[in-house]
Amino acid sequence: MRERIFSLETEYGVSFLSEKGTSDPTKETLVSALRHALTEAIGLNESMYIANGAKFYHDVGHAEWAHPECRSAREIALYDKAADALMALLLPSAQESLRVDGFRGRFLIVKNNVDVHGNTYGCHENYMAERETAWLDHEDYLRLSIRYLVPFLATRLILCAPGRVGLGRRGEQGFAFQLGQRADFMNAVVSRDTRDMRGLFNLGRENEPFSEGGYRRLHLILGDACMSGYGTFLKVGTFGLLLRLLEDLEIGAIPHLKDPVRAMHAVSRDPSCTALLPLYDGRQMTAIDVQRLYLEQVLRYAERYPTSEEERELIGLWSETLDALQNAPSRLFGKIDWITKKSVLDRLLTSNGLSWDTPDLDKHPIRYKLQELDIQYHNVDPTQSLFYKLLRSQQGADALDTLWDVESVRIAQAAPPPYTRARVRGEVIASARRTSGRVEVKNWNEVRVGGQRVELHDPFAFFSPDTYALLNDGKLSS
Amino acid sequence: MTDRPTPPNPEDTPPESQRGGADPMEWLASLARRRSQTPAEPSAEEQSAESASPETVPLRQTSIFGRAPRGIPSPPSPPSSASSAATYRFGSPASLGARPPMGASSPASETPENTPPRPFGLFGGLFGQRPAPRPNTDSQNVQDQDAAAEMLAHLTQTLQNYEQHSPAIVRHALSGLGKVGRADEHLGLVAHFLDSAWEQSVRLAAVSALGNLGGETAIDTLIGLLNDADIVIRWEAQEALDKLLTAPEDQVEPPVRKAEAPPAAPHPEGDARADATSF
Repeated sequence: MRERIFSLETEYGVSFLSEKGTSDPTKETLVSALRHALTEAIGLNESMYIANGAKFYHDVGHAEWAHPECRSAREIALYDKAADALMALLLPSAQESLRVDGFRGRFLIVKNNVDVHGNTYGCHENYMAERETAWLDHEDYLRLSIRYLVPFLATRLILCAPGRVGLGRRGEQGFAFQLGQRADFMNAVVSRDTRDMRGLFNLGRENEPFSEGGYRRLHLILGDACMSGYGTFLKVGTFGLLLRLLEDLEIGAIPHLKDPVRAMHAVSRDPSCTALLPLYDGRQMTAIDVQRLYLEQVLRYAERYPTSEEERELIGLWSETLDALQNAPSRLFGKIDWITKKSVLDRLLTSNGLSWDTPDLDKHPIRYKLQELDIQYHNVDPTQSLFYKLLRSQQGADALDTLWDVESVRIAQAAPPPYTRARVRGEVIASARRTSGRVEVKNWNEVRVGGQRVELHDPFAFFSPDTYALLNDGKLSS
Repeated sequence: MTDRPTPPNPEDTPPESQRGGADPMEWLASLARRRSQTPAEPSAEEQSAESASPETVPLRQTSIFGRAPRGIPSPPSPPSSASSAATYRFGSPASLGARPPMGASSPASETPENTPPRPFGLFGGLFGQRPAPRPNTDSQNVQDQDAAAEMLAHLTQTLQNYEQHSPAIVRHALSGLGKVGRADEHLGLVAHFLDSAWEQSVRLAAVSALGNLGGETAIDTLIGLLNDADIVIRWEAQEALDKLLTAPEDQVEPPVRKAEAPPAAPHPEGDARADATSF
């Protein structure tokens, strides 16, 4: 399969710092305030879908943003960034509606994956993938996928992790810096569940929309949300490349990790990227070495198969990132979140004559400042966010990302991806806002326009003759 | 999985009689002879379209055989199959909702004076003041011809900027334009993708779109494709011609029926003869 659909489901932490003597709004109230602001700007009443094709809703104490179907890794990275920017844009109106309802204080939205109570919330990835190959049935193909993709997933933290202060689910295992936020919550190699048994490779919900025809939805739950679009692009894009190799049965010579879950925990707790991971055959390799083996396979593949401009860019970035991780990690400042965050925290410690190895660091008052910066890094409000402050000190006052300019992000806030069915969904929503007509977005693959049902089965189909006919003359095409 | 469609299995090919006769060129020639004897008067719509659009060829003046149909511009150097896969870009900022310069597709009611500024088309005004609801005869309905025009323009813009897109995107745009486009306006655009330098799947989509758009220029082009070097294209062109020429029964006598032998009279010996000759 040359092209595939990519999507992300990003969960945001929402909290409210109430003024003394005022009541605290519930999480549901906070998400409702955001939804109200979003509906006013680019949505429809009583619909969770918005004009850029995404879906926004309350999910177990968090605000969940399910991104529209995108046709490339770069595009999904853009829509992820656009969601962050839109949240920041709507924060004042949400805060105002909370004030009208009697809640006084400061509304905070953070794009991270763990809270101080030890709860984790995800940034799930969705990939359109083939169910089987020419020679392998569904089950055998799944086995092959797990065999060849798990070592990559266990080690990819070095490319895209956001960084976290604290070890263990509640920080009970120590006060130190680790790469991943969800790594400590992963406890299985393969799972169908997403809450109790969290697997590196998830088999659940494979039949959900954009699994039409011979395709399945490959749903990954191990990922962390990235503030940096560069990280999101690498995270999603490298996995998409490996799916291509698998689908063409062009992958091989990948080491077999002895214990992938433990290996992931080890990678997460090793900012030096030098930890040796035990393999089944008795050898040991670092996470960088494992990633290099995948990169070599991709390079060989790219010599024989046609690749898109984006894929070639991605391969180049992957290679540069691994080189920099090995030789000069500081070159990745502003691009890879864990490196950016760690460099700031390191500077704070150094300026106080401390280091991560200082005994009883968890009892030192600086721990509160470190924890505060850890959370502030993920604030979506650019005026408060540590990430944006650092980025802007490097890239200029208006910068939102190293990959995308401000105008592209602004467009993606309201306009859907132009070449997937999200375009059709967005078109009917935007049109209904202009005409006050009745539109229901029943699901990812169905809209009802003026009571007429239009099915959108093909996720690649960015044009729907039926929708066109309904908008043009109010009737379905014959 | 590749993007290239599998050529049809010769065993799946219907018998000649169902495909419009033993020689498709022969029945098309007879069709042309018949037409030249009874030319139909162009409708008022056709006349106005001809006068309004300088790119459109007067429909009754085209020759059916022997040369490329007029009114279809030369393909703008389509990329080779190898480079087409290597040069497209997904999600380029330029392609994200940019309003195309498609004056012909803009609604007639919009003039530069009264068109509201829409920085990126249909979605441009979303953060601004919500416009007052337009009068709508059916409150259930979402009738928005501006939006429909925008959708159509998105298709044409995609095809005009084909070098930014993958073959799959171009195919889908061709298919959509074939279904909702207008022969007098979009035929030339579709015809660009018939050139043999395009990969087969794109050419197939263009042939199918031509068949859906219809019109005599499309028929002429499809007839020309019956001599194409690619058998799959020849087959698709003939399918499109069959569909195009048999659908409106009041205009053209279905060539398939013409080629069929008249039903045989009952044999005086009844079914016995058939039983005797069947094995």
